Amino acid sequence: MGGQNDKYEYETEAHTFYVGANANPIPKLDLSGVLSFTKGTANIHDLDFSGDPFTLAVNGRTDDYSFTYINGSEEYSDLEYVMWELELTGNYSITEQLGLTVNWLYSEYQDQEEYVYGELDGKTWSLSSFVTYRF
Amino acid sequence: MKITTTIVMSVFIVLGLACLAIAEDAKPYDIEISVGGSMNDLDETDGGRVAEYDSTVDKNANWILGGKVSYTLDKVAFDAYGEYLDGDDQAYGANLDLSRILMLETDYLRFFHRLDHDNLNHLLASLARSGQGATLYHTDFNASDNYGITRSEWKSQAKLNVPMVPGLSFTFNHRFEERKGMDQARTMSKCSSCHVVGVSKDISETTNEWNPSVNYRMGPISMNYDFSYRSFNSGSDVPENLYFQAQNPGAAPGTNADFGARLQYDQDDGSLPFSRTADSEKWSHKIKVKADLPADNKVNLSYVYSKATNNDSDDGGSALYGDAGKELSVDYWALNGGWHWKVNKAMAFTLKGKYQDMDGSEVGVDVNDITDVISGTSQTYADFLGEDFDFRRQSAYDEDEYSLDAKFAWKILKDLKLKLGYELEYLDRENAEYHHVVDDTTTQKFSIGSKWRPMMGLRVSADYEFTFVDDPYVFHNTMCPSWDEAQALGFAPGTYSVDSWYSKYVYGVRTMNRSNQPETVNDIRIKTCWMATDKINTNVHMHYKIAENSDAGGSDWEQDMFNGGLNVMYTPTAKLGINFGYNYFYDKYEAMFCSAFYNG
Repeated sequence: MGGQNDKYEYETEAHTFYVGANANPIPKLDLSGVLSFTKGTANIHDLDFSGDPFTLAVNGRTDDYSFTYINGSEEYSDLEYVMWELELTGNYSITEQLGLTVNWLYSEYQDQEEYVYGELDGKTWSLSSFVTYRF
Repeated sequence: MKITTTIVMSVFIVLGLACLAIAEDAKPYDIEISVGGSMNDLDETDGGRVAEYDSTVDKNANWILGGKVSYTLDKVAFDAYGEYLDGDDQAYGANLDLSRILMLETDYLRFFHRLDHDNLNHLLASLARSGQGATLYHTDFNASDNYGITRSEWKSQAKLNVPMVPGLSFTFNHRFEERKGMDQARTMSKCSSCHVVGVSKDISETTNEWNPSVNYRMGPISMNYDFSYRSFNSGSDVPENLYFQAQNPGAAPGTNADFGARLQYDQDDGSLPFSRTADSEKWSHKIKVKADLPADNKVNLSYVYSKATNNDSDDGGSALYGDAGKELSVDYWALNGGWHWKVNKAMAFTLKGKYQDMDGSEVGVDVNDITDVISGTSQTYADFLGEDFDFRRQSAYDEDEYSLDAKFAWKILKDLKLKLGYELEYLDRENAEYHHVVDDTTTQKFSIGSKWRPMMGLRVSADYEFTFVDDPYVFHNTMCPSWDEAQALGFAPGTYSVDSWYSKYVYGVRTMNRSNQPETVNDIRIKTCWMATDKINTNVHMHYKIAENSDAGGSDWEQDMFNGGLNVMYTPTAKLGINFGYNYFYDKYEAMFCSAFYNG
């Protein structure tokens, strides 16, 4: 006994967009930045079972079965997320030997359809700076 | 961690002081040292994807330490680099070249990978009647654990060109990989997949790979022998699970022992190990000969032999997985040949052939005997059937494969190149009947492609490939049990007896073949690069694939895939560059779906 679905679809889509720039506005200073955006979705379509709920009696005990929850898998399997990332970097040559680098990174993940791993929302940033000395 | 940080900082300080001393001399040296820090913040819910490969964002702050050294004098060259962000984010490497006679290279990389945690909450299929226990439920024993693996890899290479024998060289490669951390292990509990459990499992795995080779070139002929040994060792936890007591869900607890006669294991067998990762090793030998022949002909011939072994399959059995009784291995050998002929300045022809043979161990699996008897009798099910449940496993690896690949390239015009290709592959599966799959598969690929420069600054390439597979890999009668066929065989709805075997009335009446492999594939790719002006450069790419299998039984299997994108680079001045791009990916599968209900 069971259910049958002659044709179902599993569809995945992803859009990725980025824009970046690098510039040398004044001598000794290099600037660069990148912004990226990704939107991903995945869905099951047309998942349906042709069978109706039924009853099965075994050893005098009656069990009722339904496809209700299995049909729900169409919804459980939905995926949708949006991801942003922005990185800005600056390099300044203080002297021929000494340079300063500053970097800022921001990243955000928006989980818009909770999947089997729970809600994976998150955002992070980091501000980094270091000096480089060349001998 | 503090000790590691102290050691690393000390190394950089010592390196810095040494550099100051070295810098007094002339400039065969190039030295660079970076010191800094980072402030971080991470806000996430269930582990998150936002910093999948970043270990530092967990900390409020971390050091940034880096350095590079290079030295060149006469015929000696040395360079090294290092970068330390935290204990789980490090990279180091060095190269040494002594007169091109001895060359040494080593690289080390360590990073952290956050892993997902399956909360199991999606396992919701259940009886329709309210108040009844679910037919599928779950327990996550370590729901609050976060999972992740620190991966380290150390690769080294040494090459010796023997000065006394021109053309003779020895190479030695070594790779060491370590994976440490914690991951989730899952298993089924109760009598089938009715109850799924998840537990945390400590991971500690190492892979060691040794690869010496010798190369010799004598005039137009070059020869190579390559040996490789790889061992994989797991010191990971082997989690255990205490399975539920065998119990008819329709009977009061403890009142029905009949299920014990039907189950391979239950609570009476105590905690049983699962999610084991076997130790393994692989040996391989490769011999290759290449020759440059007159009239722009080149030929090559190679032979490969390898043996991969599971070193833990002879460790003895368990109620859960039986006893294979010996180490299992897969033997592989292959013969490859190739011929390349540059016909003239405009034409070239390439022909490649290959034969490979793979044999996996055939093994008898000693299944744990069930000692409980059928209720109301003195017989076990093995007694009742007149046979036990031991079985002989024929390897699905046993196969022979023949392939032929021909390519023809023709420069028709100064700015137009054409290429044609044909590939034929025949695969013979020796144990297909035991695995209910197709015996043999013949794959043919026809391809045509071109590269065209219609005008200065514009390049266009287009490729089309058609694949025809007869018959694709298909599982026979793998799904959709027929209720009508089950009843025709004698199964009466609503009844139960010791003869109500799933093997006969469910598995035995499955009607549909299934596959996710195509019978035909149409694959087209187009790419253009256009330098519109000396300041604007663009490229556009497109890839479309449609694959179908109408030989799978039931409804067809289909795949539609499209990937396309645009990239633009704009450089208005020498001091400003702007680039942007867009990529679109679409993939759709159409398939059939069957689900059988099983009554506890």
